[in-house]
Amino acid sequence: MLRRLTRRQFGQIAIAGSAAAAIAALANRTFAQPAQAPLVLIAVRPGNLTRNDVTGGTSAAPNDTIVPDDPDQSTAPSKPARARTARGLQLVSLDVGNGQVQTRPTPAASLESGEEISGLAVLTDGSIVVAITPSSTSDQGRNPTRLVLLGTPPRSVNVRLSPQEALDSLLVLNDGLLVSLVVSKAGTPGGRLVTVDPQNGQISTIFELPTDQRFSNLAQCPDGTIYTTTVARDGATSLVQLNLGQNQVIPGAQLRFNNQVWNNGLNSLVCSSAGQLFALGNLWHETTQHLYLIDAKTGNMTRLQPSDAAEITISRT
Amino acid sequence: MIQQNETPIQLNQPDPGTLIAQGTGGGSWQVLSYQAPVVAIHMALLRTGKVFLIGGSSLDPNNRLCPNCSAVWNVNTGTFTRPTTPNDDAGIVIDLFCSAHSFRTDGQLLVAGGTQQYQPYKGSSAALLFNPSTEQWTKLPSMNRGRWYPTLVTLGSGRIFTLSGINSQGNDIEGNAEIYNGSSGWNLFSQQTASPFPMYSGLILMQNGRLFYSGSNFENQESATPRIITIPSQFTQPITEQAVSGLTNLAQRNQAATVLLPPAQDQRVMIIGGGGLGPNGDSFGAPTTNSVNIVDLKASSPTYTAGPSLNNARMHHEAVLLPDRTVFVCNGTSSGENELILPAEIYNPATNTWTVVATPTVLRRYHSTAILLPDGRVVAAGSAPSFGLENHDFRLEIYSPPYISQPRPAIQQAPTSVRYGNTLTMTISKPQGVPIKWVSLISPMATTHSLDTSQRVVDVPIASQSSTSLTTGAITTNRNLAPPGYYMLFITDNNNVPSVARWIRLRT
Repeated sequence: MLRRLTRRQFGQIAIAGSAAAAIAALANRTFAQPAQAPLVLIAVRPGNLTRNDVTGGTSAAPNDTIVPDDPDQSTAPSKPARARTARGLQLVSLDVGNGQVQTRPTPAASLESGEEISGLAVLTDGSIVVAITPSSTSDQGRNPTRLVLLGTPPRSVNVRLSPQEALDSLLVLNDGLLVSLVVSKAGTPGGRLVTVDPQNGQISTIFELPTDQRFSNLAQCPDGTIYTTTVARDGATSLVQLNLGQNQVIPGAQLRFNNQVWNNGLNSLVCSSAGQLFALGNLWHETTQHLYLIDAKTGNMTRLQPSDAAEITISRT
Repeated sequence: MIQQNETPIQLNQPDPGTLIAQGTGGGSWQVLSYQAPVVAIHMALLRTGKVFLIGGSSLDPNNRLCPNCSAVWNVNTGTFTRPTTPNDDAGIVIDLFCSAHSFRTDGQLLVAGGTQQYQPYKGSSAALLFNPSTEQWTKLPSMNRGRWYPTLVTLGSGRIFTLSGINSQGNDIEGNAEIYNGSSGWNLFSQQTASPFPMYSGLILMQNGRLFYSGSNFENQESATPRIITIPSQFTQPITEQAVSGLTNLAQRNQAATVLLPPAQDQRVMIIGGGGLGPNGDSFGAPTTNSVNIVDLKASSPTYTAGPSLNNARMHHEAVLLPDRTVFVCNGTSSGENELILPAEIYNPATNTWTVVATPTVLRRYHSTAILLPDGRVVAAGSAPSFGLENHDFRLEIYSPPYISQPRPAIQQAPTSVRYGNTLTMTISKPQGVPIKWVSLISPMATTHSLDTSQRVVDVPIASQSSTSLTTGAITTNRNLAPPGYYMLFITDNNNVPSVARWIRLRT
């Protein structure tokens, strides 16, 4: 039977019965109290095209008999002065328990072509902050990474990183500090955990990561455990704990789905107030991303629902 | 995962260690005494007659920052040069692993997309131009969107169209197509395609300027519905689609091969073999098909019909158009990544049959390639079935069709360029006076993952010939039938023996 490739599964998160049971069972096993409190995720993704600067004439007509406007090139065309396209951002709230989706007001912020959403968090005052990183291969690859606070109006601050570095994930720690991983845009090993001042973009290193592993994602559970993930050469992905007090990286469970090793890293990781880990990801041969529930002890992943969100975070309301 | 010291099993060949593998009247294979410096995950024939190999990081995250993982191979001398890959805007070396490519009208190779990072895979928006004369890269403006495993195809205007590939966010297939033109770079279509296109979609330019998507794909069977695409005249307008029915084994066209059967004027497309998904949901252990379908794109309602099946089911294979106007299939495995070396096969459109020919020595699995050389032989290279350079195959093996050993006609002198609608006069020689049957323009290949969007054999009518000269009729004026650029000019005699090619540029 053919699987369906569906785009725009952004907000469709009706949890299937078996998956809902898995969520409940895992919550009961992880903490003494059952997961009664509603779990609402906020998800963000690139929105609709808001600007498309077309230059150089139209595309080819179906029966192409026009004189080509493509003379031999002895020199390459110039890099455009600014990104040619821009897209908005889309936000939704996803109630994991009942599958309800609520569209949030569209932020008056945009993604230029070549920019990626690399982090999402809700600050202690309830404001939402998005990390936007220029892809190094875009024409604007050396533009600064920025934090966009989605207030009215939105406010953008630049983060002082080298052009080869990216912010990977945003996490508000239990003590209210905003932290992030600084990693290579090429996804090569190493990196560091930094505090981030969302008002001015200043960062300060608090933890240097080992240089022989590739790190991504951040989540903190109510018991204080900070999780990140590592990816081996063949894509095998594992949970790792960061013990900031002891400056330790503690290997955790290897992620598995349907009895096979999870082989493609994760795009986003969060921990609920009930201590449940949720993640966005897709196996490397799949193009449809899903939301998963992760058993932190065993690494087993339960697939919940398709989602093409770029990042998720836990709502504070 | 095969280790280099394991001996793969050759079908029909009890001794896999021979240097030259002979088939029963089916040509021969020869492993070269030297190896390529990069694994040929991408391979193209340049208008200089040299072969361009691209590995990039080559399925090894530890190799992500390789600064020179492409190579120009001088087949005549057995030597290689290693051009330096440019850095991107942030100063990181561009990784062309899993990019796509197509030739520009001036013979430069445009390569776009590829790997921004591994796991999750994020598509690169980088675009580069490789100059065969200088053997150097030029950096182009980046695409508007990142693409990992996209498709590029040169249109009749010389512009280059691209769609699909995993996006730069790493969480979905990119839904907006783009076109590159030489004066201003990339323009994005505002609207996404009506339905998704899979990674490495098998696209063919039709003579009416539309594009045909054959159904071949990379592990995206769910979006592998064949259709005809009409590119609008404005970037704000939608790209429209017309479904093409009849393709059998729709769920097994993962890394199938697609060819425009010779001659291109017939507008018949053949899709060959392919695989499904294995128990883990990827190509490993995937079931394969030997089924072949053919569609006549000149029909009022094009529909696939069954063609003759391959003798051996396979995926990851390559289909190469030979100058005797047959289709040569090599490489690939009968069940994703198994260790059985399959014999090559040749399809003859005249008889509508497949014939098993010689079996190669080297097992070519995922990430292997094969292209036609100007002398009419085929080179097979690459194979990178699993992570790590230590698991890749750097050997080069050349197939010599039976005609190589036959007395061959020769083009002694021919123009180096010709304009649409003009004729060609060339000085030739004919062994034993055998008349020339065909004059063909064969586009050079630029292939990866069983995909080559430009490969075609364009027929040129013969007006007159003598023992020492040949004059053609007018070359087509349809730039969608024969896009402007460099071609290999072949003559083929009544014994179906081709000459060695001369390079010629078709221009407006």
